[in-house]
Amino acid sequence: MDLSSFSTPEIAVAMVFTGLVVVFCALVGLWFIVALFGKAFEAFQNKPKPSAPAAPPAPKAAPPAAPAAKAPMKIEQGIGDETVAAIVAAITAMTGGKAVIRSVKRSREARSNWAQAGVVQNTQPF
Amino acid sequence: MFEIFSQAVETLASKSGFVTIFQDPRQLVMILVSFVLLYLAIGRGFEPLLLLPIAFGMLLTNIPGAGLYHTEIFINETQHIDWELLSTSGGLLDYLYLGVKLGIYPPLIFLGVGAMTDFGPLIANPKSFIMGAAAQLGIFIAFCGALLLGFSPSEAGSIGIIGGADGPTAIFTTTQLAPWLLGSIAIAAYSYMALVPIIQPPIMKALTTPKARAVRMEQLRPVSKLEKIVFPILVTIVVSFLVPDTTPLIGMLMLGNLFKESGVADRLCKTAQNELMNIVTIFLGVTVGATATGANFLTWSTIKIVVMGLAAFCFGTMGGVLLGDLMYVLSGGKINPLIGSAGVSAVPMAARVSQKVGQKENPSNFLLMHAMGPNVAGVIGSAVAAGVLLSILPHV
Repeated sequence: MDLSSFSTPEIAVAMVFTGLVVVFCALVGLWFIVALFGKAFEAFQNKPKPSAPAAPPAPKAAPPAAPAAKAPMKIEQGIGDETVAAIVAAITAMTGGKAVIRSVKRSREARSNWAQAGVVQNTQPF
Repeated sequence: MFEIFSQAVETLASKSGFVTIFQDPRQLVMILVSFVLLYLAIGRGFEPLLLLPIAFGMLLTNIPGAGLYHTEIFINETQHIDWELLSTSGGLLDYLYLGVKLGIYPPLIFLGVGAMTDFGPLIANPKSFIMGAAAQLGIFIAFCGALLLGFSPSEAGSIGIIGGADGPTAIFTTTQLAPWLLGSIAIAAYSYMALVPIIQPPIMKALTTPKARAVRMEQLRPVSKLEKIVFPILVTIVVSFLVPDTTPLIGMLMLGNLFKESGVADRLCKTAQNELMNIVTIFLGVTVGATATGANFLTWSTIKIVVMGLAAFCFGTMGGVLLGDLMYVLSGGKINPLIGSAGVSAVPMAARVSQKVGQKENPSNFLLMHAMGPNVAGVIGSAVAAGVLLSILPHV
């Protein structure tokens, strides 16, 4: 491109304007495309869930049985027996058996103390 | 016999560097400059993988009579490689420099960078792209500043790209726009990249409130393998279609990343990450350092480049943080503005700085992965900005 016919301020203003517009267009475009792709992938991954209604009846059957057993422990789906046993053992050891464990579920907090300790360990070199 | 011996000694003495160095004392000054850079690389750990070969290349090129590098082969009236001169008097560094002059090394470095980069944080939080774009502000502000200081548009473009905080991009752009400034620009770019932990924090603190700096961001969503595979292909197509001049950089960056994410080219990925990257880094560093001859480097232009490079870094950081502030407000306080400063590339140093500054405000805060999003977006952003400069400004 021949810039010799333009003055220095004209070139400066035009370059700042063109440069920023093109960079923003490219990256905002990528933002939207990647976001759309992310949504599409998420939708694609969640698709099989509605097609498996046979599974929910089992957990549904559990709550009615709970009151009958008086002190049943509600365990979130996906938590294995070994994990529950380890948690119960740890709490019992800490409290001397005085605590009553009513439920075991995953923490919804962004980062648990254990996870935080892990992150600290991994990011220490930085 | 004694006469032959004395004549031989006399000839050797007259050709010796200890004598000829005083014919051009600038070489002596450059050797001292190379010592300073060697100290910074070895003693202070400033970007040693690049600053060390650059400094040694500078030392080699300024040894009188060694003839390792000849500026006139690459920078002459035609601004094309003088192949005849190269074949008759080319030295080791002249031949190695062909990889810089022909634009081979920077894209190969990008191949290795791509093979080492995880774009997961960017895919999980694509808003980061916009911070990577805002941090390119420094490139264009420095371009204006360089124009006002009397540089030509092509030279100003090469100086401005220092603000991209991306060594290979700066070298790639400068070899095409203003190769005679390559030594000064490369040294300024890598020095400032090493100084990111000193340059950025005061600007970040000045432009953010303690409350904003303490914001804990939500954990990023997990990114599927398929998304990570599609991403490099998608970015290559979008960016290369928009700015074709940047295809060598973006194409190689994304090819390296595809090696990594596909999981089927493990050997190629490891080679790109290690052996190839290391070999090219040695060649690139030594030859870029070799361009810093006394005649090229000891000029007022170098001082102006150093000043404009610093301005480019500062304005780039400001652009990223200010956009972070805007996103903090628009998101209702969910985005920590400190991650915006990582948009100036300098992977992963700038992201580490965001992490450190954020942790000072809130010790339980971990911004590193959030800052990696704008950080890698900045690499793409600076490559796009380089493409804009290359497509508008006149090449040599």
